[in-house]
Amino acid sequence: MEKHFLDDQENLRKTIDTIPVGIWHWYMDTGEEWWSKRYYQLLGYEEGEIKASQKVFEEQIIHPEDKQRVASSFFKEMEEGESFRTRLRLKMKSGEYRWFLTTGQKIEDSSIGNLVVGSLVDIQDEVELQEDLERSELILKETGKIAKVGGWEVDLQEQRAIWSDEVYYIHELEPGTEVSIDEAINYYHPDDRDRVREDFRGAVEDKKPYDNIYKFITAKGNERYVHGIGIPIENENGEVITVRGIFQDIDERKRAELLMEETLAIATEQNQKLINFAHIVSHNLRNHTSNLEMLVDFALNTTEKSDRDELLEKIGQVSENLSETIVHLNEIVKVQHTATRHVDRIDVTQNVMKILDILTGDFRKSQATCEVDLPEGLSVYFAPAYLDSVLLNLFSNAIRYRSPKRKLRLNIWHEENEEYVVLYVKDNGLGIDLKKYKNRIFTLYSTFHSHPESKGVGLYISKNQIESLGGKMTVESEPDVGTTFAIHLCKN
Amino acid sequence: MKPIHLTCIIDDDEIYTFGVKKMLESLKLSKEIKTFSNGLTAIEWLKSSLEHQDPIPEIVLLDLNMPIMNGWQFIEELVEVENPRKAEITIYMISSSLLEEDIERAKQISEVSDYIVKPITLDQLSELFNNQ
Repeated sequence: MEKHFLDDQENLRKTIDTIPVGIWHWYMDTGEEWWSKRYYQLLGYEEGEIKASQKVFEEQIIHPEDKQRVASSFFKEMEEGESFRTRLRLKMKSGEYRWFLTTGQKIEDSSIGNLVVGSLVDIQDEVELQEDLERSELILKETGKIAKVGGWEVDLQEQRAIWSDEVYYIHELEPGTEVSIDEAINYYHPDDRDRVREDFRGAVEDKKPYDNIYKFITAKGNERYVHGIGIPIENENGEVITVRGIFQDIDERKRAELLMEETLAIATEQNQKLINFAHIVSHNLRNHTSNLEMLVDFALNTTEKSDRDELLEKIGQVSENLSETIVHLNEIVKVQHTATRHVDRIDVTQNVMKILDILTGDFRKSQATCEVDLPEGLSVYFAPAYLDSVLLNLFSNAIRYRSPKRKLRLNIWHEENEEYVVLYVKDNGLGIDLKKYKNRIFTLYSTFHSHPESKGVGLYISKNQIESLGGKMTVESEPDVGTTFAIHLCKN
Repeated sequence: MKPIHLTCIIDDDEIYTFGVKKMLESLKLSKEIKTFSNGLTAIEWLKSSLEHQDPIPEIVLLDLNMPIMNGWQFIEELVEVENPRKAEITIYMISSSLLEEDIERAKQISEVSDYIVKPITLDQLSELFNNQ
């Protein structure tokens, strides 16, 4: 091509004006300025509508808040001979401000002296977009922080996990720490790792989303409950390439829920106890009153003196039984409703020895032996009166239900764990068939041996006394071999 | 009305047993009365009587709550027994339990003819024996 279109100055100007970029010149020697047609248009003016000058720019166009910053940056760059580039707000003819990007480059010793040539681009839309994005990100981040929820993504091809900051915070890790997929799974509680692996595998291989609660251990060793959601993302060929999800710390909620369940269970149990108790009261009192009714009826219908005397004696018997029942019920009520039980740190060994001492006579009479293997100073937190009553009851039971075939041998020892001192009391007596009676051994008015002193009250009260102070009582027994009671007493 | 041959009272409450026995005697409802203070001694006697062709009771008055073996367990044991003479026995459960579940449970058991809440009266007793 001999002659180029742009060789002509007019053509060059026309071409420049088609680009959506304004051009400005600043003549350093005279302070004069020139703005291109597009420059005016970007600001909403007709070409030449206002005078192109530094004064006009400073007083009418640039945002007052940007003036200082732009000017100092501009002169600094010019002095150092660098190119200049900054964002700034300019006032349109309409009066509104818009964001622009401007650049400048010094050109020295041109045919018309030293000047700076610069450009101007409208970036209002980009700035708005960026502001929106930043705002959304901020909201997301703050929401995540409050809800303790973060997002994650596993790129299956790269085998790489990306976590949001909140996911790191829940792990108690510094955001950005490198974590492999295997390491990530190891943050779950050992009990739940297989479940997490299986859920993740299901998402990758079966395209099955998951939504589950897991137990989790943070980098600092804190146990938490977390809520994990994973969603498989497929490419256009229907292959899963990414798994994306949500990770939330729901520890407080979950623990509150567990506590509520526990509280409900306690309330339900208490309720059941009350119903049982009411039933026992009505049943036992009814027994006696119906007997009384019957006897009085007989007495009214007989004239024989000998009959009357016999009936009177029976009525006396019923009245005694009635008193006894009421004493029992009273004892039970006392155990269940003494809010201010005197609880103290007590020495189990000393108490065991004390009760054995009280029963020395009975032990000797039945030629029983007793082996106590307890360390000195074995202490628990319990009501002294209750411990005495429980021990007395267990030891007397052992004597009462000893086997006629062999001499009673009582073994007492203990085990200890974090929470409890477990006191074992083992005898070689009659034993109880627990297969038959397992639900009845600790219930009121359940007796298993036809012994005249069997009332079916003792074990019920003992168990209640222990449970009312956070302990437990369990039993193992074999008929004609013996019985072992285990009493769990709280250490603290 | 002809008295029946043998009545069996299974109850741990001596006074109640004394009373029922007295009522049966006064109405001459049963020639013989046997009493047991728990289910175990009763079932042992009954099993042996069935086996040895000894007299068995036409009517059993069975208490629910007893030591060693209660009324339910007595029935369970009896259900296990295979002996055609069992059909001659009519069982009434007599208890002071007003629990709906006890009453319902008794109704479910075909071996139990009725559930009577204590105290049992003369009229109720004579009605039971007249139905025999």
